[in-house]
Amino acid sequence: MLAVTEPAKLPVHEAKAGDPAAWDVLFRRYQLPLYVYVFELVRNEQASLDLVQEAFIAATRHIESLRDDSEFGSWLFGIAHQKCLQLWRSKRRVEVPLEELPDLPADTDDAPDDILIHHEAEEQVLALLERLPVDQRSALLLHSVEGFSLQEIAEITGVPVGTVKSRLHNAKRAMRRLLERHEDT
Amino acid sequence: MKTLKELLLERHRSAEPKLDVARGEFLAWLGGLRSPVRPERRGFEWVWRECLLPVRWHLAGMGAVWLVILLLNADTSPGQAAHVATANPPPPQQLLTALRQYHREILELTQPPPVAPIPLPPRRSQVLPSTAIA
Repeated sequence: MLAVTEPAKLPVHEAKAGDPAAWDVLFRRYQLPLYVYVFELVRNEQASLDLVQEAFIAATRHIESLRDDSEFGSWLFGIAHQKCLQLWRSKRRVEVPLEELPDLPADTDDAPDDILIHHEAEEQVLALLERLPVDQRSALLLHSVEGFSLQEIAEITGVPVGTVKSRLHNAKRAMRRLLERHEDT
Repeated sequence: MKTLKELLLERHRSAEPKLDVARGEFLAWLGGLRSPVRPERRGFEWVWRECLLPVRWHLAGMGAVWLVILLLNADTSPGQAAHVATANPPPPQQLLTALRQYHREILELTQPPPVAPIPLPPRRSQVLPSTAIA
């Protein structure tokens, strides 16, 4: 069985040929990050499990449309993102703010792991993440969990790069303020 | 100190057994997908999904066109006109009288009109008395 996990070495080419072992490797590699992303958006365990599975089923059907094998991860997260939007539309739970935020300069520190969280602040950070607007939460999750670039997040969520910068900037600012307040107390 | 990624992955680590089940179901589905589909399993649902659903709007449009054609055809169909014509047939005597009158008019038109007799010129012997030849 193939057992590689680096994006560049993932068996995407074999998956295109319909190799079940390759799909097994891809599923194992992305199942938890994808579940984290979907769950933190829809906040429902069963729906999240279903969406992860549906995202992979859709991926098997449309894998031929993926031109660059190295972009499999962002492509898969894009499918999952669309599935989340469909779920919201079907449940009329559209809490995504539709207005576009003005473009802001990107943060000087774009590294995904730039926010360090004390053990005491963990619950508060998770609570804050839940309260963030969905578009900011989505950008922050994609940036933090999988380390996607601004360009990749823009492609996944279907918005301009400037909008992604704004969303990420606002999410990180909210997160830092919370952590600063926690440190002060 | 943890990063947000570490915090989230740790929080949802308990979902991994369920994700493994989902992966198993996915691979089973994938295995079934790779096997050839037997014709007897292609029921109405398959026909509906694969053949009819993609062209549902075309079928609906053609159906609407046919409906309009049928409605227009029903208003001006010759069958309905024949039905109206045979609804009140004239009595036989009236029909016979009309036929006789029609026959008489035809005869009048085809026979030549009576010509008045043209008066003959007087005979030569009557115009020139015996003195004409001396």
